[in-house]
Amino acid sequence: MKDKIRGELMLALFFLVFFVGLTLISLTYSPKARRMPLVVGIPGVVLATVQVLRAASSKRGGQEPKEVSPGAEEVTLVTGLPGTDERKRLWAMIGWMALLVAMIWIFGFLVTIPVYTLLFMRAMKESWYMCLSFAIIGFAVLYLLFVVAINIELYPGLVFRL
Amino acid sequence: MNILSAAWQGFSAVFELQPFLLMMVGVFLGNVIGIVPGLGGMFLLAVLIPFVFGMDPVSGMALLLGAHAVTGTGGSITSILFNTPGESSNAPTCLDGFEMTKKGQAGRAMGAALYASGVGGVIGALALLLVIPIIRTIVLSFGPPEFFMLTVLGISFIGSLEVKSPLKGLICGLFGLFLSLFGEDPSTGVIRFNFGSLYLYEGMRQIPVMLGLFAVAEMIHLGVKGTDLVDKKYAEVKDSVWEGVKDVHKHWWLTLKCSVIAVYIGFLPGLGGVASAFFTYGYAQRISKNPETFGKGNVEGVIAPEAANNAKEGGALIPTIGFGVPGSSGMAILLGAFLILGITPGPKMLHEHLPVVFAMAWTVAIANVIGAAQTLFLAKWMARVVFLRSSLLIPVILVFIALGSYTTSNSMGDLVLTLVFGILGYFMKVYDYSKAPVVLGLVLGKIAEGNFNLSYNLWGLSFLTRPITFFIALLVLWALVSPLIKAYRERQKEGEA
Repeated sequence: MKDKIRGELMLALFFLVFFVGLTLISLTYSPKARRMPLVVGIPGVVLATVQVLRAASSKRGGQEPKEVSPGAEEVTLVTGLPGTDERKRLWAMIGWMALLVAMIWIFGFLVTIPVYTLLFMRAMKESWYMCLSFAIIGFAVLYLLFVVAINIELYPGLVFRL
Repeated sequence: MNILSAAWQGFSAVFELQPFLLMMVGVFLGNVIGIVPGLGGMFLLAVLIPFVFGMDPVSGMALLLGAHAVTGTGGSITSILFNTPGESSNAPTCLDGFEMTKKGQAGRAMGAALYASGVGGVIGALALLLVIPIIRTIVLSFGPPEFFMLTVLGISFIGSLEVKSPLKGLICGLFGLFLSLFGEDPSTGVIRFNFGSLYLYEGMRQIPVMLGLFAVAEMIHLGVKGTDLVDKKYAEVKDSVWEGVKDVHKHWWLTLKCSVIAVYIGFLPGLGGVASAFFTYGYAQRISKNPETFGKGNVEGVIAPEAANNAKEGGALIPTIGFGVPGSSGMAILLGAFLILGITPGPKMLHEHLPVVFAMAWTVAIANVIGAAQTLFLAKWMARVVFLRSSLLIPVILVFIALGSYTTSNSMGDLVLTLVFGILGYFMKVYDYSKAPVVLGLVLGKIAEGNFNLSYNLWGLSFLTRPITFFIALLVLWALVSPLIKAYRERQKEGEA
């Protein structure tokens, strides 16, 4: 419960910092260029401040900021950051996403897609048969659709550019 | 030329062998490309244009319009099954379509989406046929102030729809609007908020932001939960695509109204398909008997944007044909194709090539019916994909997202942006911040700014007193205040109980 309230507050603060920061930056632009940022930014600062105050007051009161409606589907009820195990899984997922971007950047799409698919599925304890099948099918679909059929030049990666 | 005889000539021209076959090819390609995130209707038009050189106008139009008219139909499939919008305009479909999938109703959602797309497309085409004589008056009544106010209305409509917290919805709308201000200011050329990055010179790109907010966030959520996308208990449920088709019949009035709204938005140059899809989603929630179930798997939330998605194409063709002013970016490419085919759009076209104009309208209508039928036929099998284990789904979808994100502008920066917004989208999901207003703000921001600057330069703040602008401003006020009144009434009811 505390984690959820703290998370609510952190996200509200993120929006507040975003609006305040960018509104202040926009003051450095010419009057015409800052017109719209101010029109959007000032109400943004006001609304985000109200949200921060609401989240902070729930934190002080130790209450849920809002109630989850009864009868809602189970998956949508997953609100509030989960426990330690799930937090670890969150970091792991973010790590996997970052790895995908890094691999594409270094090795390009044609190498990354089968290798990443294989690595991810092995890490999730899928059988070698499944991993290899998905990697090969993924590569074939990618190659046939993008390279052969619609002739898009996919990013080759830093390694293969050199 | 007699209107009826021109309409008949146009109709029979579409059913000649070559145009009909080309339309079928276009529809098939449109459906396939629509499924791949990032590769939308514009991409397909650009790829197909070289092939229409030397074709007769009706055949060329059949290929291009057939393809363009149905890309939204294919795009609804990934929105429903994986929370990954195939086209930007499919983003609102994710909100309820994906929730239906999680409840084991993927087939029903797809049936509703595809059938609504087909019906919407036909209504759009019919509207095109009917509206041609009165186009000029309507378009000319809208200037920059009205366009600006329409964008504000769209954002406040969607932002205030957050039943539990309109405040969060509005913050998200403003956040999206601010994101749209990154990059070059169109009126002064000043580069804003780029933080020294060359990538941000062009501003925040919509597709990577959307893929991040919706698709990546969902994959993170799935990975964190450590379960499968759809609970295994639903795998036994005999889910019927036809149930979705029946839903569209049941909500025929909603389908019709959303299609008509989309036609109107489609033919206002510059607002585009995303706006019509979000507007109609918001409208459907407002008029629904169960607004609190929107975002939790209400089929009306699927029908409204999907009907709008295809209906708006008929609307967007109206200014393209009538004035030579494209109603959307896809229509801008189509305009180029018209010239290649030897047709100069504008009032002259309505006199000299009237059968071709009707052939276009018929093509859009027929292509929508064929497109919806093609995908409806396959929907039952496609829906089974969601029962795959998450360890198989996640890498495949992540790769799919990465491809979609990269191919929109061939930039590695897009992949990083997708990742960043994926993480933000996850936390927004966890803490109940709606993503729809962010997307709408991002999409409409540039249009809003351009029209606001023009209006301010021409009339100062007195532009707000123009009759249509003032009327729309009242609607904005209503959109902002009505949720507060509703919440107040509900609290009073609870107090009495």
